[in-house]
Amino acid sequence: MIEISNISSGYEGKRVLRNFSVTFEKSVFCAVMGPNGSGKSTLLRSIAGLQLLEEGDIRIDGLSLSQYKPLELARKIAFVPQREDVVFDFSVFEVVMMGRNPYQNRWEFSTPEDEKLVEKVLEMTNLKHLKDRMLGQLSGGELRRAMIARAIAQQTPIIMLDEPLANLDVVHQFEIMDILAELNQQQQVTIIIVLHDFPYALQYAQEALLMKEGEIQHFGPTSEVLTPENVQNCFGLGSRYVYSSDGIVRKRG
Amino acid sequence: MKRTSKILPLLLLIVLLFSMVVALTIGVVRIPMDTIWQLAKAQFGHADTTGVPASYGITLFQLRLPRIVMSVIVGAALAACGCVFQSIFRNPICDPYVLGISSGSSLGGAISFILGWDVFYFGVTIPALITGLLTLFVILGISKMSRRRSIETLLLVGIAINFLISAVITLLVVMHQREMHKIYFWTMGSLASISWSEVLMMTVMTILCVIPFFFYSKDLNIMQMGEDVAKNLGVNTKRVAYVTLIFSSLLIATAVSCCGVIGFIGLIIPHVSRMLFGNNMRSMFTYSLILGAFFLLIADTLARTLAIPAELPVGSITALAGAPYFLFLLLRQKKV
Repeated sequence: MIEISNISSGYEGKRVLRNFSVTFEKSVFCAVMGPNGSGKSTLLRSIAGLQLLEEGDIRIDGLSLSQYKPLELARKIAFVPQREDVVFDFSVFEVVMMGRNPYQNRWEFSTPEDEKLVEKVLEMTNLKHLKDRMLGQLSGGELRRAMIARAIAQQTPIIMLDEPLANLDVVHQFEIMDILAELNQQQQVTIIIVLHDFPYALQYAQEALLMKEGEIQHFGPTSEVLTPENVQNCFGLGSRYVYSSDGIVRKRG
Repeated sequence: MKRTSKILPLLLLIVLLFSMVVALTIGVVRIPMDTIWQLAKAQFGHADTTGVPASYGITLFQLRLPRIVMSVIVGAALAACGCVFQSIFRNPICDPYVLGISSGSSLGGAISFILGWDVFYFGVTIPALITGLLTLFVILGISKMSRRRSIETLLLVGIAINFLISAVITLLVVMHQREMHKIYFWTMGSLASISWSEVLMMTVMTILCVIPFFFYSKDLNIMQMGEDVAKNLGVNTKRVAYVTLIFSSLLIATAVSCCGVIGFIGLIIPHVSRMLFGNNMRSMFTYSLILGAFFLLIADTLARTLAIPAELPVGSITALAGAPYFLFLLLRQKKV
């Protein structure tokens, strides 16, 4: 369970989140949605402990973020950032193996169990044939899948993903969502995912969080949150575009 | 993944030792291998050294050997520091020299020469460490201020600091002409007249500092993927960065206080070992230590033999090789 109470956070004096409170129950699949700049990434980064909080507190399973040691937190939350800039090249296998770091001692790079698990994750994410490929030679979508594979290899009860579907073709989008749904249903992994596509949210997420300008607009079961009225207001679709309850936005008229 | 064997480093070490022996024979006087063997035996017991000029022993054990050992250790140390800097700053074209840490250290050294502190043990090292650390914190502060720690910002900061410090050193030198030659030669980097006590100090420091590098090698490895990723994987990025950078600065300060500013080793060597053996930090450290030792051994052997009986500053030799390579890297600046 993730309890966020009254947090404020931002960059260089600019507050992105203001007095933000929300509670994610255990093993929920929640889509975080909202216009650009609404603070979705900042929220995820805050929960992952990557963002300094100006005010407020975040508790995971009852313990405040600051009470976790780095390695303990790494066994709780896996985070797939929005962008991954690769400066130094590693192979897909090496990168996914890095996900095992929270469980290894500092002198070992892998154990036979780790290797088995990484192989399994690579198979699951359809990356097996790219195992020895270097990151610099991957396409945008392949790189993304490698990062998601790393997060899965981390074997955490919570996985957060910031726009994981960007750059992916439609088959891979569904594949990723299916993998996440499977983790959620079979292993009760809590999934918090920033999405831009309403149909995916409606199809996969049990809950949705609509954000605007650093504040919560609506939070609850997806079908209750993503109503035409809520989406219309939150995104400021105005009179030109119209959102219908199947998740598609069309031009009016 | 580039597979790295366990035998290869050992093989390279043997070749390195052999090269050191070969370097011993070369110099103003050529001392043949069998004479070296004879003299070495004489050092540890009884051996017939009749027919060997008495000066050979001194040349060999008091001049050449400490210098050769020093070049190997300093080369290894500088290369290891380069690995640390590249990983922490996530930048394949930065090293302590480019960022101005080396010249920062040299400022403290120059000051201690002028004040006559160089007669004390650590009399040069401690001021060099202080100014080196100050430079490091200035660079860290500036790189933190600009939120995007872009490659360009860091390099420009390094260039500015290098300019500033060389201006201050020039002023100091002009105002204290008596030490001019000493300071000037020293800022160019030289391994001439190295004593065994300096070799001992450098060796101890290198061992002391390389231990934390290896201790944190896995964390440094993950930090190459970026700070957020590393933090999420449980790496205490702040601690790793501070510990390894401070130990690097300590190592740089010691190297600078013994043999001046020798540039570009920390830039070229990690890069070459990346190309040959991949980005894994543990193999990076292992191979960089060995290749760095090789590089400075060759550069210094050239420095003392190219213009016999004159002596060239070894810093200019490494710069002759390093500067074009740096330029090449800048132009080709893409994923390594």
